[in-house]
Amino acid sequence: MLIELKNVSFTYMPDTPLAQQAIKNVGFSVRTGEFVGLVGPTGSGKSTLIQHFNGLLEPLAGEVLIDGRRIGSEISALLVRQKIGVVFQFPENQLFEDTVFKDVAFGPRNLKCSDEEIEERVRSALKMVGLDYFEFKDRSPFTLSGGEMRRVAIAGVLAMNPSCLVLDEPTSGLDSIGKREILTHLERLNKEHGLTIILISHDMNEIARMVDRVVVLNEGKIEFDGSPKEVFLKRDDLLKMGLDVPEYASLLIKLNERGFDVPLDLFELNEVKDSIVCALERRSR
Amino acid sequence: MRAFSKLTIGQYYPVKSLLHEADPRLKIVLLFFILTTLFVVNNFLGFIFISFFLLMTILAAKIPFSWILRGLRPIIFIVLFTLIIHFFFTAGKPIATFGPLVVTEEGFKNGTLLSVRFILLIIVTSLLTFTTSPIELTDGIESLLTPLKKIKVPAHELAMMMTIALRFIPSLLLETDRIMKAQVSRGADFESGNLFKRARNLISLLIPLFIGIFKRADELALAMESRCYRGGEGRTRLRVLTMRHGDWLIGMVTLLFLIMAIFAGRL
Repeated sequence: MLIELKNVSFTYMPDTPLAQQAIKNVGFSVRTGEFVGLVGPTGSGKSTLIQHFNGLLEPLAGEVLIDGRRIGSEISALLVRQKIGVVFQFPENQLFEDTVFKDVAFGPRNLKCSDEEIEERVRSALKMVGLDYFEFKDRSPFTLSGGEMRRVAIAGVLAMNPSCLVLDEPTSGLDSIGKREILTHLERLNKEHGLTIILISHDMNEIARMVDRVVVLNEGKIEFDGSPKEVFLKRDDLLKMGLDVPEYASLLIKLNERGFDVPLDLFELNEVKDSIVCALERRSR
Repeated sequence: MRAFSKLTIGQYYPVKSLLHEADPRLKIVLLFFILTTLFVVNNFLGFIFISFFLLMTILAAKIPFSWILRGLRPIIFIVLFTLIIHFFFTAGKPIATFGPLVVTEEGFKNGTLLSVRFILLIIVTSLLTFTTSPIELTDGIESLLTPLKKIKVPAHELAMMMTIALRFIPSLLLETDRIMKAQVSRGADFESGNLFKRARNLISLLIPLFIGIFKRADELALAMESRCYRGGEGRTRLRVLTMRHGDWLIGMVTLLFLIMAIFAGRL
């Protein structure tokens, strides 16, 4: 297991009237190479949960294991942060250097890499997010477009050479081109580089299309954990929590209820279209 | 990161109590009286009076003592420092010796009095912020400053600036926390290392923070202008401050106590 949480609970400002339990007895693990979608309504504890993955927050109860080792006692926090890269919401707000190169190099420099190694890492990190090294390395990050800035910020985390990338709403606030670019690169990182990815998103279409496994968090507890098909079949429960269901899944479930024989686990436009056409042909026959 | 959640000084403690509901103007004026008294009083008897009064106030305000103590945490060092300096470096009648260091009677008395005064000072001031929300506080200050408008003191503008500043403190703390966590995730270390390395890491926090602040200020100005804000002239208010009977009573009791404390304190 790459990441393993055992009965983790966390409370903000404990022992005060402002105390707020954000995570309640969560058990959860991620295997190497998985692409996990983490969804849940606002305030369900997603952002709090991911901060446990790289030791930014210590659980009040329970334990967090990385590669089977306890954060803090058996594996150092710095090593954990190298292994588990966390990209927070609006990561472009963390850019601070005057060139893209220096900003992406911040992580490897903190890891005390040699100059050659740093250059190599920056080059490959920028490539992983689809930015041309020579075109971008000397530009100021503040002159880039929103989508480019965000990709530079993600490259800054990738330059740590993590084996797992955790992203909190990486596409929020971007236009559709920016969104698509980030998502295709994430998909490639998972498929081609074997990077484990945990993706938080509100866009269920995005989640359904990309991930192998969906984890639903509600009021600090894990409500569902399974394949997109399994989870999105619980349409009514999800809607009750204030979550959406992918539009295609919604359509297919409704058609199924009306007696059309269509599979429920399709999340791509073409596949959905074909299956509906097939079902219609079968019926007219 | 943790440090922010442990800091209680200046925070509002949201419960319902006699003191929470009192007029903020009254609380501000009384605070000034109490502070003055603290500086006038010059012996232990006076401080006992004031301490007793504060004890009652804390009980009436329903603030747990642990919060008061936590508010004192940041000043422990200063208090200890004052104590030590006074104990050992005041000329006068010696009462104890520690090696080459001599404690004098005057030093002991002055040091303790000063420390007690300082601690009480912090407690009263934090009592005001524990029981008064920032909005009430600025409303109170604006109202108290209004008579000074005649001599061209921009009361409304000052209050508005304070409101905005106070409003942004939690946001900025949150933002600082977020950027810090993002940089720590990239291997930054804000807690150890030599001065040069720490300064370098601090830059990775300060630059994004400042960019954020300027952006926010710009957006706020635009939002205020879009809603036709043009200063305090003729602006009506949502909350109108009123002194109730209970408030007058609180004022009277406090003044009575303070007068007694001053008498006892000057004996």
